[in-house]
Amino acid sequence: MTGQELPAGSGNSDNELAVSARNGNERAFREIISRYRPKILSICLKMLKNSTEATEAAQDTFVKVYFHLRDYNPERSFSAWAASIAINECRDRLRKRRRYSQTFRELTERDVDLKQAQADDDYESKKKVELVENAIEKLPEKLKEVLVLKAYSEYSYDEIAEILKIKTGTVMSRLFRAREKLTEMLEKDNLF
Amino acid sequence: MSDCDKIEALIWERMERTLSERERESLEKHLSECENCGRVQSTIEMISESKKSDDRVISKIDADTFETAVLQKIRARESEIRFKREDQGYMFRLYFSVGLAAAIVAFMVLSLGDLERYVMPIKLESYKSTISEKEYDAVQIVLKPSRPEELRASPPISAGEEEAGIDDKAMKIMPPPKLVQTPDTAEPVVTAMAEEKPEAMPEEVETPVEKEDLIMAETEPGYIEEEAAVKPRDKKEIKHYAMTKLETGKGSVESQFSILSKPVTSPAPDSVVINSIYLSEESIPIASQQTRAFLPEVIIDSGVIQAAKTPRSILVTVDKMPVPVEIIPPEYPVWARKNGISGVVWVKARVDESGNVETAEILSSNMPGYGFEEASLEAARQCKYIPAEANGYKIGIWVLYPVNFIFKNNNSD
Repeated sequence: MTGQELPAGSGNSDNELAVSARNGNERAFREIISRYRPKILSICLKMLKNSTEATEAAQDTFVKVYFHLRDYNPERSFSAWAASIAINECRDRLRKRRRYSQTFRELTERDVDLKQAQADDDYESKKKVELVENAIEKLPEKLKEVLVLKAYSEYSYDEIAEILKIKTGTVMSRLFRAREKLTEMLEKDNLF
Repeated sequence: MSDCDKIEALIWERMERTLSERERESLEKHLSECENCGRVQSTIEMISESKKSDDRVISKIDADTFETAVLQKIRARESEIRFKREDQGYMFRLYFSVGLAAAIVAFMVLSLGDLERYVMPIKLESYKSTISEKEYDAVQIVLKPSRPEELRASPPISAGEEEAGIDDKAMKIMPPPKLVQTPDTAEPVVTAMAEEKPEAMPEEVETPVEKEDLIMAETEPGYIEEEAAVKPRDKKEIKHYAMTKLETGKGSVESQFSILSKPVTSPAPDSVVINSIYLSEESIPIASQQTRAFLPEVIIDSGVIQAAKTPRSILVTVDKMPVPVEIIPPEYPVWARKNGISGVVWVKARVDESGNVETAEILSSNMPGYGFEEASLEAARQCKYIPAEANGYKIGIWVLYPVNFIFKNNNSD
């Protein structure tokens, strides 16, 4: 990686940054990291439910992005491409976790960071958040992915379709089903 | 798309962007009417609350640390890839050498049966090399030549007389008692011999003896005292006699037998002096000589050889005994040396027509198991002789001689 200057103009699009980074511009890649860190982290955090592992997964996602930049097609959305890598990374980790479920049992519980973050809220909202988290955790993985991408990483339907390589209609129906199930579960908990 | 679906889509969109005035109005209106959409809204609201909680966690993760970690991971991976690329040549060499080593090991394992054969000689070799050259020099071989004129003078012995006790006597081979000489008597003999002329050889020696089927001779017991009367045939023999007498003059022969009578068993010395090893003919009893005369392979002794070589008679008298030209001194066996053991080995060697030793056997050994036999045989096979002659023919005959390994502790001297 070389310390080349970013292309002129601060408002570079994501795709331009990606192309620049592909050509060996380290600063462009750093820009990509800073721009996508929250989104990728939110995906990983929601999927893996552990801040440490989520951070690691997000870092590995960026490493993969760097080494696969030449496979990136500039005509497509960079953010969707990066998100798909993140989703795949999370899938791999979840698969491993399932395989070694004994080892990872503790990790699946909410870790200290998340609990501290919730401690700032009042009791009501804290309880609510915990219930929602648990409900989302119980969702099937396919529905969970769509819900996470939509609600937590704020991707559009089309982008989600691109990330998950499914049709937009499927994204909508999955999101609807996810929401339905979530509502059902929350009703059971008498949250309404 | 039904109203409820549109409302739901709006609720989702509200998370991402601020809705327009109209959208918000229609949303609020529908939510007040539709209970189901109210639940949808509260669900999505709770999700957004959970998202805020997540965002706080994410905000706690340091951006710089994160970036540094990513870049470090990238560099680590890059160097790994580079190493792998550079490593290909090295890996090839590694695999090649590992394969070669495996092949060698496999060969070793397969030839394990023969391993002893390869390894043992090497070990023996290394033991042998520990003996210094001084010790080699200390090994001397004394040979007494045959004396046909003496033998002819002695009366023949009938075969029937001797047949009894053949085997007993043949096995009981003892060193000649008369060899035990004092230095005083040996010294004048040397001078006497030096005066002898080769041409003084009696004529009868050359003429073959054919009149009898069997001609026997008895060794004079006290022959060394009569040594002066013996006429050496050539210079070599004179020299040889001289050497023999000098050796005797030093008293080594005497010491050799005195030690033999009570073997030394003191601890291992630093070096060993091996005294004379001599080839002798007179120690074989006549009885055994005669017996062997009837055998196809004839044992010779005291210059009388019975060999089935000439067509007219089965047995002939050997005119010339084999004369050693090249005597290889045996090595003193390492174990015997370390344990301070002396020993006598009687070697029976067949000297063929060309003077080489065809085969060599051990007749007896008084200290078996210490390697005396092996050392004697190995040396015997390398010796070179002037072949024996009978009736003008060169013949192959057996020679018998004792090899005396005398252990001498230098430290005690």
